[in-house]
Amino acid sequence: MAHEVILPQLGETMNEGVIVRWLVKEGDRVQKGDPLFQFESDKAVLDVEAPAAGQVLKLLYAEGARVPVLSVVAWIGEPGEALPARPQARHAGESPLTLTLSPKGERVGGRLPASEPFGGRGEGQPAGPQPSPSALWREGRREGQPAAPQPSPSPLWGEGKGEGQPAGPQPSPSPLWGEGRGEGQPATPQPSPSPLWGEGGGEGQPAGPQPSPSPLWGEGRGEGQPAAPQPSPARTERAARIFASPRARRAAAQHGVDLKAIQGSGPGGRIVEADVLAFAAAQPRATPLARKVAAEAGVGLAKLAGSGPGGRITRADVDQRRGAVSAPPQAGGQAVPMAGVRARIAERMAASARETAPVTLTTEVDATRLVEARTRLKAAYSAELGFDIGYNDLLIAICARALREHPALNSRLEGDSIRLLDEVHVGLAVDTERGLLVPVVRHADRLRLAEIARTLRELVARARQGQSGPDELKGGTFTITNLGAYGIDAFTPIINLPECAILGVGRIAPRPAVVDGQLAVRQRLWLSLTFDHRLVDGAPAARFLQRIAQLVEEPYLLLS
Amino acid sequence: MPTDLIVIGGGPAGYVAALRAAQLGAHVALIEAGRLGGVCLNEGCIPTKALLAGAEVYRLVAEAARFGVRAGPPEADWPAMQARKAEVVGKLVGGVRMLLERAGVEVIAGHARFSGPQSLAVEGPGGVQTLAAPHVIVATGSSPLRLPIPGADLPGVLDSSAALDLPALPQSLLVVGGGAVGLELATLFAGLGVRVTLVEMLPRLAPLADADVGDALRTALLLQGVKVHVNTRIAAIEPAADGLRARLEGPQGELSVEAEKVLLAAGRQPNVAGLGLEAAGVRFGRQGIAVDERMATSAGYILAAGDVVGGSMLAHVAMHQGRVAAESALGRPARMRYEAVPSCIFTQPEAASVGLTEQAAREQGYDVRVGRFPFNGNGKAIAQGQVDGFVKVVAEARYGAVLGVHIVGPHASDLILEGALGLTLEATLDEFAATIHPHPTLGEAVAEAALAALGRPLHLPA
Repeated sequence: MAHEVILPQLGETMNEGVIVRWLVKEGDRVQKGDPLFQFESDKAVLDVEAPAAGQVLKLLYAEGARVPVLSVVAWIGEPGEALPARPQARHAGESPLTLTLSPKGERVGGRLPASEPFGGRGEGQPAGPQPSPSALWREGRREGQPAAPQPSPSPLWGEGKGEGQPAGPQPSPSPLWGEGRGEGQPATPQPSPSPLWGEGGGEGQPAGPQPSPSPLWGEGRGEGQPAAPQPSPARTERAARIFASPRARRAAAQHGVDLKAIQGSGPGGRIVEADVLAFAAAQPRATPLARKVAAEAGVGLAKLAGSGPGGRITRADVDQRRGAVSAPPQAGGQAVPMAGVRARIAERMAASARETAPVTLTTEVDATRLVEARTRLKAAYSAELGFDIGYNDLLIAICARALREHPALNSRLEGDSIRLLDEVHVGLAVDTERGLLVPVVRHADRLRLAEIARTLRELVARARQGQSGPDELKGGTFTITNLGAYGIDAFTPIINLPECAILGVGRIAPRPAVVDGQLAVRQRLWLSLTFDHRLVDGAPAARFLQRIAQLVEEPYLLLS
Repeated sequence: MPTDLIVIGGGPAGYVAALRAAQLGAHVALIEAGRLGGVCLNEGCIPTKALLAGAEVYRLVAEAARFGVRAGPPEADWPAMQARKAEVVGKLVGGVRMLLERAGVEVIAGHARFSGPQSLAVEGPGGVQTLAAPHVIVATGSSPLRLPIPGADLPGVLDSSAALDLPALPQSLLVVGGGAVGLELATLFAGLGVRVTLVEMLPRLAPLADADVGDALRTALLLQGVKVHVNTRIAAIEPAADGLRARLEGPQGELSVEAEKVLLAAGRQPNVAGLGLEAAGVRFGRQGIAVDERMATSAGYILAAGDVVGGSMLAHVAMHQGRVAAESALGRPARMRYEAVPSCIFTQPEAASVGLTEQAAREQGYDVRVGRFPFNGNGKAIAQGQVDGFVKVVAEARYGAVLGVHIVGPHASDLILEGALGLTLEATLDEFAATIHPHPTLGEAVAEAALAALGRPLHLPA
């Protein structure tokens, strides 16, 4: 069981310290009480002692690094011990905890440090009750209000069921736009810490030594920055701490660059001087106010046209891009702040509308057999599952199969290259009281239909309750949006960036159709596929939709 | 050579429009009925400043002992001041003429009038000629507003132009109107020993300025011996034994003030009459000609600039509008922005503002932060013995965007430039505070006010 070595906080005003010198190196054996390193606060240089005996397994920061207080800076334990994916900055006042790792790398007994960015990492998120009123959520800050304390302890995300989940019956999980509507709406919504569609969590995160240097509202739109921790006023500085080398900081100050907007290329995402210089060189000219407004609103300056002196981007230009009005609200109507999920949706939708080259293909399919299949599946599985399999479950299975067969649609744009993704994760757009959320059924192509159905219900229920896990609302490779329950036939969905395509599902309704030369009443369904023409051409997209149509018309082909 | 552009009016808007158009290669004709330079040069800003310079010297001599200089009591030589004023004006008007000539602008003396949508009849000393050009810029300026009160046409009732041309200093003067013109002329005459009473209809002097500015100016005038009546309107002017008597209605009821002269400084009105604007299809009203941000009128090929479009009626705005109008007329992208228009009042001390007042910022719903620094905490101000006044920075809390800067004090009209540049470039408090201000200068007060708005002034007692 490895022990964390924490950078202590000396007094309430201390936010960070500089590691002046390591007195040990990795592999050294230490006794409890041995000096491990010297650090400098704004007041003094002090030694930190080993909290336990053992071998120094890992030093997470280099000498000279600026580290937020209560961060894990090193691990002590026994050789060969597994270490958590990354250190956690701790909430002030909380005593260091030892974390037990489950085989999958999930923490089963951890606590969430308050200054932890939500949704930053996929695996290894702690579950269970959150120890402190978490005032870190986006909602609070966007509205400029002091973040209201959450009822504490609040269940955060659902992983650790049974541990700290509120007692009482869970509302029965129901997919939104399937037939399952009306089965008991879930309970009170709750501001969710989850990003709407974060990306970059889950897989392949470097187990870097640094807490994520993710920009709060930086340029990283589309990359799906994790919803940033929203500090309460008192905690702003600490929570917003950015990891950058001293030279990077100096360069940033010189060039008037906001470090929050930079993605670091150094170890663990640390910002180095070269990052700052490259960023500064690539920056369009903008007024100081425009920069601040853009940084906060998450609006990229790169593509804005400037209307100010010398072509500078002004606040008005930023506001125009953001679709906001700079003037304070006028009388009349009700001003609803663009906050939380709404702001996130606005940002994502605008980014999609702006950045993709969307084309929508529509086709009318015969869903008679799908209706039959669903009826029979319902009869066969409802006793075992405790709920009815719905159309969305079937559609997820169908799309997952089609995506597996048409990898061009299971892709995303990464800079100058198109990445064909190995895994198929299908999201379903869900209307919640907080707004549109897209829980993602991971590895949908590998799941049995019943597994898809069960997973989806759990995901939807948690999304509705604001208890989605950090990687439950992101990482999708394709999205389904079903408006059939509202009597919509066909529509033009907006691509859920950074995905390549989205399937809009209309209502299934009996309509006249020609079957074998005869007029017959059939269950008909419109499918609308919007794809990003930057990534894929019309013909392959059409073939993909054709395959989906085929699987809808003849669902038994899923068995093949 | 065909004319590309006709400019009607040779004031700040017109001559700048002509110069800019010529600079862009256009062949420009400029029609002026009176003297080049307009009201600003001939009977407004410049003559006032020339005379105020005399009043300033007068004041300095009177206060010489304070600086350790022995001098006799000063004596105002008004005719000599007038002569100097004429010299200053002549020099500047000659300068404008020279600039226009060098730029190749054809200056035509006469009154212009639209005779149809595309043609102008110019009535000059040599008869009437017809001119036509693809574009016309109307820059005919404004005239003093005549108040419709009984006795307004009595001899001894003056407008600002007449007041500046008085052959002799009056014993006493009643100034009606507490805006920039009234305040400046009250300052001028009071500074030369004239007994001055000032009447303002609204509760504050300089009603368009930040409330603190109006209050400070009222104090400054009182210290110069000016009697100030606010919330007071003038009901009538009558002849009296030693000049005129004005009947006033104020919060305490009626009162009457006797003065040798009465100055009506109650604003100006755009010169829109007699231009044949109707014939040209140009929409206008009493507030002036309606223009868009390119300074184009409802008749697209006709543009307008300066006081004739109404609004703030400031010479520097007129010049900027003239430039925009010229560029628009010649197909350049240009638009007029009004977010950072400075305005100055040349009182003693001066007052200057740019951007939103604190009151306006609050009304617009901003979370307002105000930083203030008094000149009696500024080394340069103390050293030069001018410590009255302050710098006030109005900002919003979220981004620290500077919304307005308001200054009362020595050289306020020069100091406001920092605010104007800051607002134009959308600077925030951080940039104001981060800019190194030379020491010892009055401008340090601007930086301190910005620091105060950030909650960390260095030179204010905690």
